[in-house]
Amino acid sequence: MGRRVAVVGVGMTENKSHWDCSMPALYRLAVTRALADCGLTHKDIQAVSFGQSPEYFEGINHPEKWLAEACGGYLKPVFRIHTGGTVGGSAAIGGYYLVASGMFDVVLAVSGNKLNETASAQIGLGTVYDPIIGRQFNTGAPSAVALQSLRYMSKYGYNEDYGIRAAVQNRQNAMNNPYAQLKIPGYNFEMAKSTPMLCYPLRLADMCPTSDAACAMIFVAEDRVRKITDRPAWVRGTAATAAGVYYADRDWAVPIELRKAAEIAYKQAGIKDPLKELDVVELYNAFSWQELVWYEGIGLCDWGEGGKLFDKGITAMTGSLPSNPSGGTLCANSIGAAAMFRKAEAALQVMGKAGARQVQGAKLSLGHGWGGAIQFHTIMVFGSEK
Amino acid sequence: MDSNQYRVLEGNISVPYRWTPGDIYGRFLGGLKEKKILGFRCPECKKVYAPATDICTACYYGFKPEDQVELPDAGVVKSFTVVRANLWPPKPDPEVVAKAIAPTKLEDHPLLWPPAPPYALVSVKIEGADTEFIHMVKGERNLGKLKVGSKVKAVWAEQREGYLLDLDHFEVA
Repeated sequence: MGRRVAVVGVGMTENKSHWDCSMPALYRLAVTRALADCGLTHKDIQAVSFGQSPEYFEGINHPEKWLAEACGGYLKPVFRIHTGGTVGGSAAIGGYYLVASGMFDVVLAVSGNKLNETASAQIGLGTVYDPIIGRQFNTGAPSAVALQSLRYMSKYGYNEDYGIRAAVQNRQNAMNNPYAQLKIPGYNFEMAKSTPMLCYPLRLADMCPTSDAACAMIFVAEDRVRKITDRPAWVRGTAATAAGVYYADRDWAVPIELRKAAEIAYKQAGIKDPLKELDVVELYNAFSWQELVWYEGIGLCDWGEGGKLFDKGITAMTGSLPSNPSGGTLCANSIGAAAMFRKAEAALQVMGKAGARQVQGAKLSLGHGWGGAIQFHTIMVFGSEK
Repeated sequence: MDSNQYRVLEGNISVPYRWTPGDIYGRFLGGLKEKKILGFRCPECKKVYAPATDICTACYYGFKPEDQVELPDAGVVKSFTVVRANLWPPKPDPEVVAKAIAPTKLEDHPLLWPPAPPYALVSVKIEGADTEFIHMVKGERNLGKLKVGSKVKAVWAEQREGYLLDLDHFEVA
């Protein structure tokens, strides 16, 4: 496990179309908010774990060069980590590793993207597939996840409404999140169900928006934590797994790669029954059905039981284990920052700083990251106690 | 059956994009449109940056509109190279590009295709700035006179749109 490490500061930008600022200014905004959150300055940062989504979305190669000053990284080690949609999670884990290893005491992790500036994110996503077997359909994300969703529905006999209901629950949660993009007053099942079908079984309501955003987290070694804050989020467990690209051999409805990551993180955190022990989870639900699939992936229930768990209301804000109080990736998806938002939201919950979306008394939280139809999963478990 | 082991599958990934300059870069570009070189002075270390940047490197200060200062459109050459050979491949055939997997319009863009030689790439310390502006000197008469320490003055494009090359090139004063 290495040294004990805590998150002491979190900074988020609003998820929206940021035509008002440049990419460097967007990163700096997230970083300055994280520094302000814990009373540190850029001089305190010893190293930067930098994330951004695939080059195609930035229109620039080597974005860590363009953004090094914006991250306060001048004259410091700046390491770029790149794992597609999971990148924000990987950058956060990278920041944690740098401190846990004993090499640095104060490390900034930052990740972001301006997805609205790409001419088409989906054309870009079409280029992430195996160029010899798979690229030819320029699939993008929605139609790949449509395959995952229908597989899940048909395998376990869930009707189309489950996806819609999961989307509505997230959209209603997002009303409490000042950083969410999709905030629709009075959003309900009928409104979601009446949205157009884009690729069966996914309607517009089942999909995430296109966001510009950056997110930053500051990881600090144990002996520095108490001087900085009395409300840290201790890193209790960390895991990342690669799922690869050979989808011919993967059951997208049964993400065993995520289950593997969860088992590793729970073992580190000493969690035996995640459904009972966790107080809040933030899942990378870029599409509605993934809310249910990921419940199963992180072991809240058995395979195929995600919809039944949802039916019980356990994961609603009023339930015993709220999922995505922020509205999740369904209500804000910059890709580059989205997985870090999940980690940062989970950290804020155990710090007790989640504002109107706070789950009262949250002591143990999980933040998840996902990329590609299959690709990578990241998990961080945070605790208010060491 | 042919094993296809040495077969090559051709593809072309084009990357259309739109970059947002934001307020500070945006003001600098707006200045160029009006034939002005604008700098930004850091209130903490007093350093004047031209061309624009969002952030003072040393202070991590984020520039604000009020930090803007107008500078002369002239300066001194600190270093240069005269480019005489075109090492770039020929511009792609638009029909080939159109057959790419993600066909998009590839514009005849100076950012992608450098100007025809000869020209000089120069770093110019604009009067009143503490940084150096990388730009061009063009024309054989100018290139012949160019040396470190040469005083240069901006030559503005006829058609200006708020773009770096609204300042077409520098000429030796």
